[in-house]
Amino acid sequence: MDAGVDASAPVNTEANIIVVRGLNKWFGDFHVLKDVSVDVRHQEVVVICGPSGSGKSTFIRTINRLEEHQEGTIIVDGIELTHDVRNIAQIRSEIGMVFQQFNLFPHLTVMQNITLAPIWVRRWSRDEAEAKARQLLERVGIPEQADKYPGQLSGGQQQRVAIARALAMEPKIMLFDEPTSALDPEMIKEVLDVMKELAQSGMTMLVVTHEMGFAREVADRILFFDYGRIVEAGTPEHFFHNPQHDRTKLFLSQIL
Amino acid sequence: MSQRSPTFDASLHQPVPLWRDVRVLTLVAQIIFAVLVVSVGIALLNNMLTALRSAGITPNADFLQRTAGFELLEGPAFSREDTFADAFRVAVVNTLRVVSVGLVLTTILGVVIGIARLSSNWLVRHIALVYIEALQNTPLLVQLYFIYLGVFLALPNLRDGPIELPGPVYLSNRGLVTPGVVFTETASIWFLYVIVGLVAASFVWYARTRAAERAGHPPTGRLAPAVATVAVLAAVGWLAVGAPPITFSLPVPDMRELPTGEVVVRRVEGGDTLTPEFSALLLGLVIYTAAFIAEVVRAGVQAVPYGQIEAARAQGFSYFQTLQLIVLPQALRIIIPPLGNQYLNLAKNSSLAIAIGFPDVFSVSNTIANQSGQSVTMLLPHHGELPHDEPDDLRRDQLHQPADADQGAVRMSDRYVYVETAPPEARKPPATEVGALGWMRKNLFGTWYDALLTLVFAFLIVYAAVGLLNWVVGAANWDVVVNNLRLFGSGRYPADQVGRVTAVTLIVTALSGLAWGLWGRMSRVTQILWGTGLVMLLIAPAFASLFPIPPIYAAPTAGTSSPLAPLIFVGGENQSLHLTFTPVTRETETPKGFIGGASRTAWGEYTRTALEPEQADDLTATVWIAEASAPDRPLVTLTVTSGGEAESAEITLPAASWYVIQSAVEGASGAAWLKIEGVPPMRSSTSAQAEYEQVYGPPPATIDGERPHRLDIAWLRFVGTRNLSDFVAVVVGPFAAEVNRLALVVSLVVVVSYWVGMAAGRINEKLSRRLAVAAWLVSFPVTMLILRGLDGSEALPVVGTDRWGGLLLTLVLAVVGIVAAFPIGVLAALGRRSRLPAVRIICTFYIEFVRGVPLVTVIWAANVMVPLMEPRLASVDSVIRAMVGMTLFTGAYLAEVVRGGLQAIPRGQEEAARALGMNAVVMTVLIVLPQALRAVIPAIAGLFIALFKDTSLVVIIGLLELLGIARTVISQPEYVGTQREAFVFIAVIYFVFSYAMSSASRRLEASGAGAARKL
Repeated sequence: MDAGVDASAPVNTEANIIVVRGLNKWFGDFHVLKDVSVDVRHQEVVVICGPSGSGKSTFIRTINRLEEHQEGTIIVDGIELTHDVRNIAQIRSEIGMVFQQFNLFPHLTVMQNITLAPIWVRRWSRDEAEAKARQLLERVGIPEQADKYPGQLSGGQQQRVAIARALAMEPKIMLFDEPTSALDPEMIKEVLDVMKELAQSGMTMLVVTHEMGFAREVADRILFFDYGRIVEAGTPEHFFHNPQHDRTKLFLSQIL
Repeated sequence: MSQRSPTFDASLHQPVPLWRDVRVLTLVAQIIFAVLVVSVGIALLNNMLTALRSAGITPNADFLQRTAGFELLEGPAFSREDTFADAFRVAVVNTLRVVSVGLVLTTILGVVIGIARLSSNWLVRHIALVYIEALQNTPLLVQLYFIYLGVFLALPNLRDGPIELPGPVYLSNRGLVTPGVVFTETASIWFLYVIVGLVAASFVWYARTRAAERAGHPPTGRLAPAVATVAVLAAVGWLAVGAPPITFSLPVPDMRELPTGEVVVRRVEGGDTLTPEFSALLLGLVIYTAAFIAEVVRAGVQAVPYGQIEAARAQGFSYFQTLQLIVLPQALRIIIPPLGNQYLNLAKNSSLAIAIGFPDVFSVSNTIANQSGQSVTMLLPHHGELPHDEPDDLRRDQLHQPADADQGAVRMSDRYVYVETAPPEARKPPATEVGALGWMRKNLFGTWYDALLTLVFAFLIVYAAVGLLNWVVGAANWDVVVNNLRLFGSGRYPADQVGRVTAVTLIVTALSGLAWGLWGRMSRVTQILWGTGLVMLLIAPAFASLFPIPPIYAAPTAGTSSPLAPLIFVGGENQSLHLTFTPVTRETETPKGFIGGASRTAWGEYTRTALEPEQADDLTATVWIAEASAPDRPLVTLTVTSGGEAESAEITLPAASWYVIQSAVEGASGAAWLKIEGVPPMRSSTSAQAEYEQVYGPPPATIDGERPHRLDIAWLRFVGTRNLSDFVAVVVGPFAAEVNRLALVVSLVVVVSYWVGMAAGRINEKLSRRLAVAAWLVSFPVTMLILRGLDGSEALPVVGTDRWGGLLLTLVLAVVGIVAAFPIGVLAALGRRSRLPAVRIICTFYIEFVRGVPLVTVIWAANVMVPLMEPRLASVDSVIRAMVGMTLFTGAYLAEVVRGGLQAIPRGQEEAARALGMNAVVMTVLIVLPQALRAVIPAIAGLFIALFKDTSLVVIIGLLELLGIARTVISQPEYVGTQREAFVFIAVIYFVFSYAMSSASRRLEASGAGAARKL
């Protein structure tokens, strides 16, 4: 049985872009994450699934410090996530994130949404940032929407803009927090297609999702969370056809 | 696996340097902030104490035991030998009296009007609407002054006989005397019986309820037995105690005969007396607060979804059952929090008592402070006096926010709804015959009850309208307005510099027109109304000249050394005038028209006292009229003697010039009236005088060594009742002549800039809007510069803020208040939501402290404390001090408004910004604030309107803004008795501005412009 790596496993920051050891987090008295330890290799696509409230979203949010963890170690690309402001800023600019509710800035155009962070955080010139943005909009398939406001776009288009916005910072890692859960069924595919293309291009991705089709097709590894622990981890092959843990079997029987 | 101390590569665990550790940084930031705030506070306090010490005052509480030395005529007995502490106690009792009675009355009135607002009867609904709009859009202080000076003090003199109403109730300018209740010695024993009765009644109530529950039917029939129990015991007690415990005292006027044989009322004895101050304060607070409560009630009832009522109907509930069981329980939950706020507002507003001399807490503290020098110490009680608002409750009513605060958040996310294709074209509903009759049946005569209401209210409206029209046209003396327009407009701003005020007006007008063209549309109705109004204003002077001018009277009278100073007036070539010179007898009636010099009530007596009954009148009076340049060559001369015949003459003036009327009298007694027809009274405003000089040359400075009077409206008084023709000739015409040029210029500027705005918007909307916003920002310092001037400049000499007044000062105070409060409000709002506890606590303290204090206290405190706190500020004048006070006050309210906007932003926005690596400053400036501020634009507009009305409070520290100017004007001897006219005029100005702004902001809110991407 392979439930991630052991908390005392050796740390190899050369091979692994993300190293998590003994991660614990509480919301007040509620123990959300319990001794989570994971290694993610460069260019690996990891899908995280599990029932609601199992801590999977919280887990990926701790990786770019949207949530602060109380115990354990997180090392991203060789930089440890501590209380050091410089490290936090550095790690955030290396990790892109896509949210369930898109979280586009409604008062800015698509173009401004994408170029804002490169200009203000990366200090690129406006031309440079806009060129990059156009290229990314092309890549996510909506080059014609650059001057619209988010409110004028469909959910699928908004989520593709959100992906482009994250990619504009040229991150090494992309976090996806249920990127398709707020979408109408007919729009899910267009977002998943973009994500597949991204995975094929060699991006390191951590994806929290209920899209088992996507997991089966794209994931290198699937982590299954329950009650704040990783109860099962393995390749899609292993996960879907030969699950070890009873909880995983129950989960799969209910969703497949 | 459960082991929690993993082994790591030691090289990874580098200690975080202190200057980069988040925890250290946040702690340091908080310490710096706290130290900064505290040290500034200490420095200011220290300065203040030093200043006080150097003035020989040490703030402490000992002064409270000193003798007051002033009297309080209201509330518990108090004399000048009592201490300051006693005075304060009396004040607390007075405040509690007004507030407690006021709360009950205002609730009743508010609920009635709120329900009337929801009536199915169109007329009732709209009367309630007019009531609400009129009261909400004028400042409470103006209303208070109107009620106090224009109603209660305008009641008849006690001497002349009070008004007697059934009751009996006596109304006079000394107050209201009603029958009173007197408790005798046996009252306390009788009260015991009543208390026993109440206890017994509650047992009866309880027993009936239980019995009904056991029987399994709804508890009915418990009220009557309970009431009966109380009544029986009270009756038994009344008989048992022997002497009646309660007696009534009826007011009886105490008459006295004067030596002249006249019988006058000396005073009214017995009964309960309500002073004019108490009555005015109570009435003002009640009717003002009721307008807001009515809106709260309406919003609460309307917030109950219609589906609830439909469901109740479907269940078979009756109308009243639906109301009682379904609507009210749900509405009350929404009504109660804002209702509590209104109660707080009433309590806070009671501090306006100072304006009309009612000794409440604020007013007495003010007196004590002045008497004892303990101004700073006396500031302390005001805060404790009032409980705090609930932190989340903005002054919703004034902010035009939806009753349900959460709606903001809901709307925020609803906005991202995506609509891919336009819905199919909608069909028009089948044409139904509605018609005027159908409308009336539905809205006015739906049921017999509706029809009755309609008739009653229609009668009342007609009655009130006729009364109002009679007053406006016939009785009111509008000279006070027409003659003082410049004062109302810009106060004591130097007359030769008024062009600067006009320039500023035009700049602001142009920018407003531009904004209107860029962001809004001028509706057809607005265009028509505006155009018609302007045309009417332009033709009014010419139109008015078609109406006959009422005659002017002057009275050469015996017994005075200088019977009548030379009167000068302007006359055109071939203008004909008719003179009649009549000797006065005791039977002569007071004529109708303008009279010179005397007050209008004194006129009749004035001429008649010149007639001595015991000796024969022996007046010989002569008047002659001449060109002012040649006063010795009369065009015509008239002479009359007492008891003789009247003389008259018709003359045609030879040239456009100044003319003079002179007179001479001989004899010991008697009077004569000179009636002049064909000469319009001259206008007295500065602009009119300039016009006369342009056409007729400068007026003669002296005639035969005497300073002449002008036959101008400021010197003349209208006596008698005007009719419509007189009204048009002497009020409408001159008023239009005063304002029509400014109105024309303003309208042209608006139209031109509106079209420019529209055209620019079509060419490049985004750029033009940005430019317009930039122009507004630039206009603020520019206009201030134009108004104040430059040191040492020839073209723009400095006009100190102490000379600013009228509407100009009102608007400047409001604009400066909101602009200067903006940074404070935004920072305090951000601070209140900060994760750093020290910042949060300090900002919360500031916001809640200020919001717990009435504005009038803040203004007063700023006036007293600003010069003390910082020696360099000692010389700033009251206008600047008032601005400081209003800015600090508005900042706190603005902070709450902005906080509402911040709370409406979904959490995901911040998370997304942080995930993109933005730091706190970038995130706040680029992501959070633009959205938050846009969402609260309507609320900020509401705050501005409230501030605009609240500027009237600076009258307390003696500033001459609109209300202050009105008070100054009516205190001039020639305008005595015109307080109603003056207050009605400024109330209309306040209303027009406030209503225009609030309807614009409502339209903004309805269009969603506040929240959507429009800027």
